[in-house]
Amino acid sequence: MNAKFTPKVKDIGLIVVLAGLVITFSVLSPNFLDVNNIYNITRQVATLGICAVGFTFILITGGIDLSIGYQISVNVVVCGMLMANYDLPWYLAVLAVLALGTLMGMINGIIITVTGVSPLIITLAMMTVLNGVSYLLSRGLPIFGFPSEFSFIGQGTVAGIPVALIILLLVCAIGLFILNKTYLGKYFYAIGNNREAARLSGINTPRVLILVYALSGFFTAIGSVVLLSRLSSAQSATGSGFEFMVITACVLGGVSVMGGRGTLFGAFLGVAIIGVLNNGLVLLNVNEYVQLVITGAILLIAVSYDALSKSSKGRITQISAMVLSGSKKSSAKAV
Amino acid sequence: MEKVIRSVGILGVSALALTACSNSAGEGGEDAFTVGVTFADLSNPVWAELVQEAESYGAEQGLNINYVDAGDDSSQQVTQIENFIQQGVDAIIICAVESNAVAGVTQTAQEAGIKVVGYTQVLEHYDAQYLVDAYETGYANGEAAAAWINENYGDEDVVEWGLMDLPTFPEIIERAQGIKDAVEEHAPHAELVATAPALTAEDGVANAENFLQANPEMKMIATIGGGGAVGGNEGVKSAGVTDYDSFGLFGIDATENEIQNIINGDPQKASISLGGGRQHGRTLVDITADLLNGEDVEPDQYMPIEVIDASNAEEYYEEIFGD
Repeated sequence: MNAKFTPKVKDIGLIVVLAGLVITFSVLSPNFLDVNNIYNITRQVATLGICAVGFTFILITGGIDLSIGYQISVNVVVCGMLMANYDLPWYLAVLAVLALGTLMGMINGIIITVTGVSPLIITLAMMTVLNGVSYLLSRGLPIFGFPSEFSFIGQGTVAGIPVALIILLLVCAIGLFILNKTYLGKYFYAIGNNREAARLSGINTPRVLILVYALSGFFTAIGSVVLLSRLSSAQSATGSGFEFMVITACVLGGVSVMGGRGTLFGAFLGVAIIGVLNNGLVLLNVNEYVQLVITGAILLIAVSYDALSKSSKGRITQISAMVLSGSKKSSAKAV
Repeated sequence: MEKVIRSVGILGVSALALTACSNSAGEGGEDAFTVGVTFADLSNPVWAELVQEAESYGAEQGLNINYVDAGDDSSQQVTQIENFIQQGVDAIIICAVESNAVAGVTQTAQEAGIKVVGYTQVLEHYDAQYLVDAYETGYANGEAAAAWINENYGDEDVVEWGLMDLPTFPEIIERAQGIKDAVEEHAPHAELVATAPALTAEDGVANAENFLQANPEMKMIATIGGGGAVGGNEGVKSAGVTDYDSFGLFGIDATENEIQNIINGDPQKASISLGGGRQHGRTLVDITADLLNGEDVEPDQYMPIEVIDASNAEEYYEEIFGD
């Protein structure tokens, strides 16, 4: 197993939190640890997990893409319109949206590299543009009436396994391969750690950055198709606020927003924690207000525990030094 | 510094482009009244349909409709109303994000001689309002659900049901209470075993799956809105319910998608219509036109509450959504 996928000490904190949640929900709800429910959770986090792959790439390079939520919005609206309004076969509509998603990501990448402006600003502006585009296309109205075969992607199963889960696993495998088995993955980390050093070492940083945003757009388009198939209804509001969910999952999983650090395994742990929390609290019929408090508190605990465990070595050294100096002072006073 | 200037420029251009998109030039002619419309959130399909109908119907009635989306931000809505006042519109239609936040600015508008028309939320300063009785709307939904429970599971000792509410929206809390009261009153053997919030179809799908996972014997789900109902309909299916006659899903809003689901014989059995976006758009235009023409207008008017189920869904679809 590749080192970047192998759980490291720094992921242990998150694994402990996830295991704690699973054990707690299993004890409190007899229906939680059930194959059907595991499939439920995977269906519910499929889009988040798929989008998190591309988003992790971007974060590792030191970038960010705030437009991801409205990329989903445009993707689902366009896909829905192609099928419902233009009677395009569903597989052609899906292909068109995959191309569109890649294009949207590529445009982000090109603007970021050409202008040199912060990705935060560029994608924030792009988020607003795509929001408007989505509403212009749909006029705010829902689009539905897709071919029944299309629902297979988000709702169907193969040998009892949800198709959405299979797609999620495939995307994860592709993501892991890119990040760990290709030079591209090494370039992502190199650019995230020090862009100038990466450029001087011969990496074509603009090309890699455009590619990383295009890849993220492609994965986001896959996630959008899964989501649309699951909902059977396209609305411009779909995907709104999704960027914060992805950021939360990735950051929770230890992917640094400063770039250069993070693994897909960590990001998947973040996605899993969010999925388990959302599912488990509803199974337990916990009051909505209490759910908000519990969710926030557990996310805080997870992030804090993870951060502390990462810096524990340094902190222990610091504490040891303080204790030693304290004991020396005490010895001096005693003398 | 150059990057900052460029960034601000890009944001400015984006904002201008969107402003251009959200505005719509009136077609009512030079002598027409100008009406500003600000809506809490135009991602709501019913409201999106409403403003479009208001725009086209308003032009027929001699009103130039200029609508904007407050994006669920009350401070933005106050700014929009101030801009309408500055623009010198003849009337403002307000679907408030938070009615207290617009109290001052609506008073200013009235002092400037501008007619103020409220929609859904009760305003402090207004000339007319078109309102929804949230509790009665929820109660009608609960009543329909209870009737379905009694008809299909009247002999059972306990019938489990779930509720998709929205407790973070004050105006929706009453809807949920109405649903609970009606089910408790008309189907006392029904037991509420699961509750979760649902604003969008995404929420609805996940909630229905989770409800049925935790409570495999659940027979009914009621929702406070169309988003949860549309998603819930798919969630019930993906949770493995194949006999759609054995499960009842009850929504509010009677959106086109919901009505199609009822017609198709899906898990959704009924939805509460409050008249629909088109009808609301026309009513608001009529109220505003009457006010501007100096006619007597009933200050507080309420939306009709009608249950749409398999018996009248096709007729309703033709009437509301048929071209």
